[in-house]
Amino acid sequence: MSEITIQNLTKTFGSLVAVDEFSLTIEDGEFITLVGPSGCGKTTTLRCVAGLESVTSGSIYFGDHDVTDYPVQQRGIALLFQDIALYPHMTVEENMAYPLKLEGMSEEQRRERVRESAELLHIEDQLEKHPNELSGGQQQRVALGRSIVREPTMFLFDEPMSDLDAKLKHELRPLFAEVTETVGCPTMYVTHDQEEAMTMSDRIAVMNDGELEQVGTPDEVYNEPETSFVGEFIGRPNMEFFDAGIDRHNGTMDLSIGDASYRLETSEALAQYAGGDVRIGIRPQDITVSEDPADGVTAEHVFDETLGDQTHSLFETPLGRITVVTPPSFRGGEGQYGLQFDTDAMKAFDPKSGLRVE
Amino acid sequence: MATDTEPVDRSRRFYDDGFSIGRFEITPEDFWGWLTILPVLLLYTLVALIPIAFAIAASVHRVPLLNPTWDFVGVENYANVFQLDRFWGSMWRGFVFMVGSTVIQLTVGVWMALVLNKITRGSRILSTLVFTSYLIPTIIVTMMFLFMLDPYDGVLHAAGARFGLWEGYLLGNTQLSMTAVVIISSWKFSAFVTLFTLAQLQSIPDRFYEAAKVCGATTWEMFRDITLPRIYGALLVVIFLRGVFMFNKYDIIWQLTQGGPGSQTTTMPILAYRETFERGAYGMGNAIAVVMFLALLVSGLVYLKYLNPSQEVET
Repeated sequence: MSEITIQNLTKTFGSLVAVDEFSLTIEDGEFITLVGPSGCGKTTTLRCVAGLESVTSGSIYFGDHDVTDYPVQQRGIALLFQDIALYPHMTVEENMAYPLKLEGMSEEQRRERVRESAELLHIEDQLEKHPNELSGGQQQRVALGRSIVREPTMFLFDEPMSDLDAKLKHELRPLFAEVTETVGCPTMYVTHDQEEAMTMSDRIAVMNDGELEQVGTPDEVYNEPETSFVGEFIGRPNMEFFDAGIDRHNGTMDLSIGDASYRLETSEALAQYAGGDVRIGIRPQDITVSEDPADGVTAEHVFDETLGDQTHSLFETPLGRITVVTPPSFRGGEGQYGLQFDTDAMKAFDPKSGLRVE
Repeated sequence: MATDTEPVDRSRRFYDDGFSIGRFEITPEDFWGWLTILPVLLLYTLVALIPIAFAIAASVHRVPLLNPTWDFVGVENYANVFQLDRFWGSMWRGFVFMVGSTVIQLTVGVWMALVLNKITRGSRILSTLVFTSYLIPTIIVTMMFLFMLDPYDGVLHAAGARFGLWEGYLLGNTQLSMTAVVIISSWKFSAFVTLFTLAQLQSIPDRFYEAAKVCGATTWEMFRDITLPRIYGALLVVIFLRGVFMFNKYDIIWQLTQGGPGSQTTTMPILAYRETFERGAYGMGNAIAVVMFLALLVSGLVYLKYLNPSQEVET
């Protein structure tokens, strides 16, 4: 087993560019999540790596082997589908043993291997059943079992939990992590759920509109988003964005958001925008609510979403509606408040390209 | 209309509370239930039960066609039927015709369905073309083949004779006429199998094939392990239907060869027709038909019991 390298992968459907010059290396044993909104090209990327779609241009390497033109059968991958795709006319055991049967393994060995995998997945008592007798979560376990009975060169997940309920997701997440670690090959996990991406990955690759926006550890993409898209897509509730004027003032930068102004440390990159506009992103966790309406941005409370451990409060302000993460006991009562932004937590982005200004 | 002011409630009909005929209690549900299926029962009696009863009745009488007096003869017709050499010969030829044409139709039909299912562009127009052969009336098909096999100016005859496949009129050839009739019938009816199979093929999700490819399956293995098990139930039904239809097939054979040359293509329906109208033995013809019906009934029940297609279709 070795790493997977994707170089300048491009896939077009007619005039539609689904994936544009995508490059990424997945280390051996690394769990990478490809995350992005629907239609961003993440599934197409995965299908190209799997060999289920032909590549328009670019190459894919498994270790030193150029597999770009290999058929799926020769890539030796494991793939989990969103719609599971177990064969309804085979029992669970037959489903799991199918790749081994194709390899020509003897029935005795097949049984042994299936039993080992089934134990790892806690489905050893389901082997005689047919897939339609199992729940969605158990079916996905069987599908997982079918992929791990032989040693795959690479593990691919195509939104395997989209159709499952929240409780099952929490059950399966650690299982997926455990299984992929046991198998120990590079893993590419595609999802539109940023929470899944944050909790399971070694690294996250954020995609938008066919292009790779940023690759980094969950910490990096959360704390240091390179584009405003990544800032908005990763983290809940969504990052709030404001258009801000910026001016240089005696060695500091003066930022004006609405009526309020803030003083920032000067940076060379930021200085280039002096006299113009930047886009400021700030997470709802970094906004504080003051009882004094004159303190910061004037805000009228709209309603609270109580989550138990915290509250998400929505305010109407001259800058638009803003969500703020407030303490669990906070109840706004539709009163007047002032919102204060933590200047250290502000991220500045170019208003046109959306790139981070550092 | 309802006249509620009167002491007797005339708005209630006689069936509202049920009634009885002799010892039979008829509830309102029974009443409506029987009333609803009555038209179907009547129609079925008219088009199926009465003719069958008539045929069975005729089969135990001697009925000369030109002098239709019915003399009751009991099982004499049946005894005669089983002693006829031409009866056993026609039963064998009917079997050959049924099995031969069903096998060809199944092979060609499934193959066409697989191809149509694979084609992404123009598959609709192509399926329409394929199904046309099934929609063309039998008489047109037979006329077409009779023209093409004409020994003087038939194009198929010219080709076949040129390549030395046959000499003289193909349908008059004692060795090849049965094969020719089987192939011509299959030309028309293969599309029936395609229609059934294609519908079933289209219900197999692409994911199954993708998952199989990931497991390392070749095209043949995907056919064997996914396609075939998924269409198996439909195929069992199709084989049953085609077998029954072909065993009873009369029109296409009669129009092509009238059962000839000699009796080379005389299957059981043709024999029944010939006994009735060429030999003028109406009772005998009906006895043959009844024997055919019973043979089909028994083999049909055995087939359905041991292969149980409905169960296969469900899973």
